[in-house]
Amino acid sequence: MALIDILHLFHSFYRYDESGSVSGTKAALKDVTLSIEAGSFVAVLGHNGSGKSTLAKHINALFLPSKGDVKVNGRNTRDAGEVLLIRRDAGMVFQNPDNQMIANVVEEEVAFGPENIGVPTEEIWERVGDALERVGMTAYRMHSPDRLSGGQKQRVAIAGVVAMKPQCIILDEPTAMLDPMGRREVLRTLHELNEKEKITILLITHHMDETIDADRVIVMDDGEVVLDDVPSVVFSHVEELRNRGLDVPVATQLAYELRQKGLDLPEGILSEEEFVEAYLKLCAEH
Amino acid sequence: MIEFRNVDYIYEPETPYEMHAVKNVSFTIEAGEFVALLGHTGSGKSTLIEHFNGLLKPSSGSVLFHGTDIFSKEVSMKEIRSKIGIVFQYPEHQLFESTVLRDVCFGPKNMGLSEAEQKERAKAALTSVGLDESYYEMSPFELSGGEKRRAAIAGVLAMEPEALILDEPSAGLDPRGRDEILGLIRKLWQERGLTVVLVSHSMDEAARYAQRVIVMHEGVKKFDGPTREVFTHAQELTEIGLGVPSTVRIFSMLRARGEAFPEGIDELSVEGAAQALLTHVLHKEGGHV
Repeated sequence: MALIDILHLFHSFYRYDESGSVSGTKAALKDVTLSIEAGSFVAVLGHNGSGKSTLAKHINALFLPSKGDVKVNGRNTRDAGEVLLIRRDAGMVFQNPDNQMIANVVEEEVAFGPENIGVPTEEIWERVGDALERVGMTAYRMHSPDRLSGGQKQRVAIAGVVAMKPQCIILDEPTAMLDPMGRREVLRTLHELNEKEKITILLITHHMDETIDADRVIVMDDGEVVLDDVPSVVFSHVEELRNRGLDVPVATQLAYELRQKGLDLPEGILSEEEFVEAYLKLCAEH
Repeated sequence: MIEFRNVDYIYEPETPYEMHAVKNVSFTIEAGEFVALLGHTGSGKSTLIEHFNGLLKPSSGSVLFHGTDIFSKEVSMKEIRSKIGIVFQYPEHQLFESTVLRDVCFGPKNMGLSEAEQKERAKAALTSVGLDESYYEMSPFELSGGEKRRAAIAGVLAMEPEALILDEPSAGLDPRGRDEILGLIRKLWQERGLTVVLVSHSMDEAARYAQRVIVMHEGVKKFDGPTREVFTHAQELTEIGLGVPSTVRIFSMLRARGEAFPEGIDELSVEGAAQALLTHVLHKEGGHV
């Protein structure tokens, strides 16, 4: 069984007029069906307003379907009695680290989650130490969160979720406000959690370069899933991605331009290294 | 037009929190230049931009505007701040008025202009960022992220500045929003002859838009020169954690593997790189025939 099952999910936002009656609706998700396997690293790519954040909030039961179902570990988000368990299994990290920090000390920040789900005190401290180690922030245990860099803050936020021992972490544009170094730190942490702890990662982003190492890339546009495959296949749709307001990796774009000009470069090039190898091979053949 | 002379800035000097953020930085920016100011978080670039219009006073050294020290007695700081407009990071957080038009009027109002002049300038500024009449009476909070940012830029343009300093104007926007904002800035630069300083940590952005690049690292000016020239320092830029644009990296990898490319090829844009790589392969083919 898949860890997350999304079946014919629809979500509508309502607009209200001054008297409080519905004056319009906007369909943010239109018939989305997906299943996410346990242990996978899945990236969801789309521009602002594509529905990707709405989708994320459904998996954590922050939103409930207008129509259709979302199941995490077989538990339906419509079932109010299961919501706490769903949030324990599928933890969420948001875009702005400053909006998520509530404690004065890093270790208290990380303890907040497990404390809320009723973990015994002693075990909480054990989990906090463990979670901080997994995100590489042990040295900052007694520091104040507001003296940390953006990347460090996001790693603390991730540790707060890890301390709840989730099966899945959903991250809604966690790097949008970070500099390149902070971005790399967060990405490295996520890949480590995925590889070593087998935590399923669902990374929502509009930075295509963060998705090339994912197992699977889902592209959303206008509330629908428009592409869903391994990165090399998704990024071979250069024209389509551009038309949908997304970037492709520079190496992929370069290979595409050269193919258009008649050079025999393979599809599916994602990294600069792959491009260089393919190009040198072509040079040698000539 | 703007000159930094041996500017030093120390936060909270002679306390345990003392931090030497900017160290002996000098440069001159000429009218009409498009300069990218690059550096990662903590490099001193944000401290530096607060010096452009006197929000911070150098601990030592001076900042000159058209040859006059901006802190000298005969200079009106109010005038400096309308001539050198700074658009801070996430400028949409500073929108506060009840309508878009009133928000954009705020700058001209502070300059003491009449209501008619305020409106005239605000409307012109909104037009130049692509927000038409239908936006005038909207609440700033009804706008999309990209629109809010354009409204905030209009707020600075309404003061009719000679120079526009923008601190990471594309932060947090998706690719479409980013291209829109940067395209708009380029248009303002081209059509109005505005001097632009773009603070960024994206090498690709700098490569695409700027004529000149200044690189800050640990409070020191590390590089300053034409964009193409600065990016030839691939190794040093990588060592300080900034890197170079993807296309430049591809060329340096190919050179390391023994491929030779002529001087003067365009390594900064994908189109230019593709052309050079195509010519290179075809040339080989020709050589063998």
